[in-house]
Amino acid sequence: MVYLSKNNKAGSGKKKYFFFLAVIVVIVLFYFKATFFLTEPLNYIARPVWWFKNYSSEIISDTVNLFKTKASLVEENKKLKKELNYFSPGILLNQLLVKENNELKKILGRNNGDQKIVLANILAKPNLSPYDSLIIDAGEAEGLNRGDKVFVNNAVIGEVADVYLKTANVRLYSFPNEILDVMVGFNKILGTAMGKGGGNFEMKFPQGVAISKGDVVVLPEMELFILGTVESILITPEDPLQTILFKTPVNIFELRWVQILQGE
Amino acid sequence: MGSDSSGRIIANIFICLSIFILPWWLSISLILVSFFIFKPFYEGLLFGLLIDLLYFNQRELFYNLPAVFISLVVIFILVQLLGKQLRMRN
Repeated sequence: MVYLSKNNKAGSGKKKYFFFLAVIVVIVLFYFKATFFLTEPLNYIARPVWWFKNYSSEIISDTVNLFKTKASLVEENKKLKKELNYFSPGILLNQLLVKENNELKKILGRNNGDQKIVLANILAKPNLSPYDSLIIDAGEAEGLNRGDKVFVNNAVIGEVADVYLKTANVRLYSFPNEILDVMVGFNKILGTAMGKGGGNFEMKFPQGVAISKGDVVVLPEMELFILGTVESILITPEDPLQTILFKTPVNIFELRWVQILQGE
Repeated sequence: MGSDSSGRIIANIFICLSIFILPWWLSISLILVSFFIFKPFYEGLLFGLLIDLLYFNQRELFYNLPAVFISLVVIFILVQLLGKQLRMRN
């Protein structure tokens, strides 16, 4: 006859106790952001893997392009040239306005002359992270700090959340339910935007507020950087509020590099 | 070494790599499937921890908690309890 020994039961109880204790310790460490001593070496190990993954996907996409037909390449070339012609004057005007704006700020004593821009490669894109974050290959060594704004071609997409020696974790603004103060349109109407994921946002305003499709949405502290443009306005007779949907002008899943605006 | 343990090693290697190169939902699906195939799949919890260590960002939606790790712990416990119940019935 086989009897279940008391020691076995006690051992299993102890095991369970340690298991739950370990789980609670891990959760507490994450809550108080005290996991950097593990994240730093892990990022160091993961860096070459991410780099290799990005490099190999670039090679694959280049190889696929090689097999494209000449006709489709000529067609694409024509289309891109047309787009370039269309946007060039706008870009020049934009550069001129930025320059003029900076000059005016200098005259008014509101120049942000100490700001420095750092260019960083994206190691891990948002599709790898359940938290809608980017891992970039710049960190403390490049002088990055928590809260530094991250942007691509004048479109702000997020901010630096954690900084390690040679990498940093960037939190994207568009994560679902993330709240953000914004200004909309030429009149800079203040409002609150809520992230909807994948670079999309939602805002609510009373129906009388004049907002139209294509209006630019910016952050109050970064008026020269676009957060998004209004894509659609939803109005229903039973709702006194209008719902404004806007999205970032860049596709965050196709990004290869970002710029970081350092220190204010 | 049996075929079960070699299969487990292959699954471990594949899941570990997937965390760095595949979309997050695919890695988590692989861990969930492994919970049902290999019992008890403690490594799954370590992989959840790895995902959170690499990509964690405090988010209001998850009450600033490591959602992946917590969800996997809950599912792991449920799978273990379910396994016990089925064994007792048989």
